[in-house]
Amino acid sequence: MMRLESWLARRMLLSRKKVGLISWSGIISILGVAVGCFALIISVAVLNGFEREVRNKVVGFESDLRLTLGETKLNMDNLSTAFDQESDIAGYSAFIERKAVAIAMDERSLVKVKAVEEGSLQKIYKIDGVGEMKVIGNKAPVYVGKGIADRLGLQSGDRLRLMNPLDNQIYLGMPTVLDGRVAGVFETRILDFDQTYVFVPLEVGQALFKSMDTFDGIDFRLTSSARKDRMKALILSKAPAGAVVSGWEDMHQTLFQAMQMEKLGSMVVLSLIVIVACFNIASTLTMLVLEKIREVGILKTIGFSQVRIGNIFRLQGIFIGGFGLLLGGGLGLLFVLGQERLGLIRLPETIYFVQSLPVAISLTDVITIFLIGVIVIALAVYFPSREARRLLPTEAIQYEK
Amino acid sequence: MILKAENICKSYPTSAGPLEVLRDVSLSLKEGELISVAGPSGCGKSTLLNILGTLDQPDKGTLEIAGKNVALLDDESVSRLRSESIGFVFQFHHLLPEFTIAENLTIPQRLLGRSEKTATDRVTELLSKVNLLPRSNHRPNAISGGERQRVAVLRALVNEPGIVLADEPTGNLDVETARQLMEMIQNLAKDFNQAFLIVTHNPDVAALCEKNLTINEGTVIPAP
Repeated sequence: MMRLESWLARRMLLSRKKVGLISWSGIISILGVAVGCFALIISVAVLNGFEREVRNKVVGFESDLRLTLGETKLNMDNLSTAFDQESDIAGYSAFIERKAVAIAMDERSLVKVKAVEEGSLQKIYKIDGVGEMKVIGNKAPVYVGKGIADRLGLQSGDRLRLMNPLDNQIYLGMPTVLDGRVAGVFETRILDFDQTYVFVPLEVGQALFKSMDTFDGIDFRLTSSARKDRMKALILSKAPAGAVVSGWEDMHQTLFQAMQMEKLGSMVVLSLIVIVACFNIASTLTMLVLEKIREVGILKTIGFSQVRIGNIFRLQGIFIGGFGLLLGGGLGLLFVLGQERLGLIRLPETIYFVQSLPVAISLTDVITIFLIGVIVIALAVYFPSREARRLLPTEAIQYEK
Repeated sequence: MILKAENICKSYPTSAGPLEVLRDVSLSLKEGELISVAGPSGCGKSTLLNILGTLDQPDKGTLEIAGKNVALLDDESVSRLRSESIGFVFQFHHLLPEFTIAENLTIPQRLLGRSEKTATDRVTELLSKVNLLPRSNHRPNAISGGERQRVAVLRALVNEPGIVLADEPTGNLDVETARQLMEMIQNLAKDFNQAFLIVTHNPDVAALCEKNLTINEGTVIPAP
């Protein structure tokens, strides 16, 4: 029976009886919804794209899982045996991470020193192009972030001293100073890592921070097929009591929460476009109801019930809104696909650390956007269709246009 | 008895108090019966027709159509009853302007759930009876006033209702066209055994009916 209402709705909507105002209003309503839906899809896709890029960079620089020990001391030999046997662990490295002062010529800068095991720069921290970390001669190799290198005017091979004023055991004693050489300058282009981090070999770090035989934790890189939850539990089971295992999401919880909030915020704000467009649908439908009052009377006279009359106008709103939603959604998805495949919009890599505007959209996002549209359209069509339902046939049929 | 109305009362609120239009009106319609209702303007003829056609509700009284008490039915059931048992013809044709003549005659049938083929066959049959088949794909504004009114009568009859309520069906037509329309109504009433209640000022139309009623001061009495 809805087929009859659907047919009537289409015919009455597309009737060329009054091409003027209502048709234009209908087209504007469709365009409004389409623009809103398009904007929603694009903004969510761009936010997703940037989030993906940030996540990839963060995941690259940070480990997949990190075991931190607190005050507990670990027997690395026992742990190594356990971790070496696990096929889902692609690599791991004990680390120390503390603050220190980097001194180059007359310049000084507060940095975070991360002391890691040899060979872990590429394998665990995905820092490429800086060579293998090895202690050669009497000067410790130091790998500095590009931001620090620029600030201190450093290049590979330059002398760099690291001073640790915090772990001094003797009051008024001289702080420990490590004499090093810049072995490489790395660039991650993510957060403030390039401005903050310097890498040194683990034994150099232990000497600098006077923590021989101890370390702050272990960073793990997992294989791509590894299940993170299972590995988290496994690592925790091997570690002594009091140890904590966290992932990169936990380490940068605030950042990713902020990005989620930003995404939610932009969805709410851009949904306003759809809401405004739906006001347009409501006004178009109201005008349509006014235009078709006599027809409503005729239809009621020949046996259309209130529900069926309501259905006709509801379907007209759904046609307008649905077409706009599909048009905007389709164009948005087409744009996302084009941008993803062809990189149509280029970005200056030096500023944005990516070559083209990153976009990504998930099925959940698309469903959410369409649901927002459907709910708003449903609200927009409710009131005009209710008015049409309530029209009295005796008055409607006598209505003078 | 296809229609039975008992003690129907209807009044409208006005600034000077309620205006009583119908007072204890009782009437009944048998299958195939042709009844005319006359009366001065504003006497309540159209109100009576609207109430008998379930388009309006009485303040008091009972209305039974095809054995069903209308007051006890919900909107869906009343609409169904209207679709199955009642046809309307108005002074102005009240055809749907966006739809062709054939579509105007198809919609009431589709509402009853008839298949498209059955509906189309029925439209062809009826339009042929009144020589309007060549006009089937025209819109109402592309045919003459008399033709439109004939189509309006066909629409009232298309679902073979037991009752046809006509409000001044010839009021907008010239004498000759009005005569042709009444002839058509008489033939169709005979062919399909339908009861007609016709509100009219036209004595020629009233003369063609079996029973003539008048509304006087809110009550229905036999015409003199």
